[in-house]
Amino acid sequence: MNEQLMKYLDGIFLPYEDLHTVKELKEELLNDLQEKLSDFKNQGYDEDTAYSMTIDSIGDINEIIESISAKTRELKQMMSKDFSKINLQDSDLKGVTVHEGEFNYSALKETDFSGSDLTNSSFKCSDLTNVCFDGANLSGAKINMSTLRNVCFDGANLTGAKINMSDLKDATFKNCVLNNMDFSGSDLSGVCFDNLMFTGTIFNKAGLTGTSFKNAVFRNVSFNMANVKKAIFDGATMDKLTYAVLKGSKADLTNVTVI
Amino acid sequence: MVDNKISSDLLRGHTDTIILKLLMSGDKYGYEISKLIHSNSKGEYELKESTMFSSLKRLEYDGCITSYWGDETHGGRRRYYKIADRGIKLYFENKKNWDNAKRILDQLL
Repeated sequence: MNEQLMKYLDGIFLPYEDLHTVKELKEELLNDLQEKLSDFKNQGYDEDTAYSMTIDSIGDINEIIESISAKTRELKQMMSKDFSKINLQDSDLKGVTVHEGEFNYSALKETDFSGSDLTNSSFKCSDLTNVCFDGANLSGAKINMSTLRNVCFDGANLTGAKINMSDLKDATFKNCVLNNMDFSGSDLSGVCFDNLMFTGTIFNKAGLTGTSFKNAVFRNVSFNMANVKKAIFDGATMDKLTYAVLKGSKADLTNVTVI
Repeated sequence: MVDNKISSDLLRGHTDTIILKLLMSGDKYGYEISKLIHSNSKGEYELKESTMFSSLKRLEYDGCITSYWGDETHGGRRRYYKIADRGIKLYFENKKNWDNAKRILDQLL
């Protein structure tokens, strides 16, 4: 009988299966209904009557779906790809696929985008503090005038992405792909880029005080008008052009290998 | 059991307040709430699960209640609901509004 109940709930929640909140609610409802079913049986109702009384007590399921939470309603808008001006703080968006999504003027603090595919999405003037992009695909993404403090980009693919005029203090970039990426005008003070490969990456007018590029490899990297004097290039390898530009900007290039 | 649709709709409109009142006396899980509504109304009102959960989820989203999974050792785990300060305030507001409405209706009907 409990199995029958489970199947019944599976059936009515089928169209909404993907939503995390729905899964939890289904579990909650199932436990309640199982307890109700056994109470009905203890009161002396036969199995079939107890079952149909239990099912009847659910009422109109649409009532729940419509008001599971405003967050869920926002998630349903995923199809429209426009999340601008929406409060998505602390949302679980792990593994979502949103190509060319718009997250402009959005509150995304603490949101978990790990493993998601956000190719060519744009984030303008958004609060991305503490957001996790672990292993996310952000190739071609545009992040502009946003707060990215303490953001985790570990293992993310940022090929061709632009992060401009943004605050990246304490952001992490372990095992990231940063080819042809553009950091123009962003504050990267204190950020650690150790052991990474940079091909065609642009750091024009970026704040690089205390930024660490230890053992990094640079090819065709642009540092125009960037403040490189206090950046750390210890053990780095770079092509002649990148070296010449950095030297001209008075960067500390002791222990750098030129290729 | 209330078979009259009008009284049932009238009661349903107060689901949030009924639930808030029950949570004022301590944390409760879903089925516990529906059992208490059934017994406190002397079996005259049965709250549908859908109505109850939609109210619980709405109250939670509005910050009037919070919820947490209990640590049951046997059987399915239960999700408990706890009233927040905001919920207590809402309860007293709603109660006052209802008392006013009741007084006016008593004069009019």
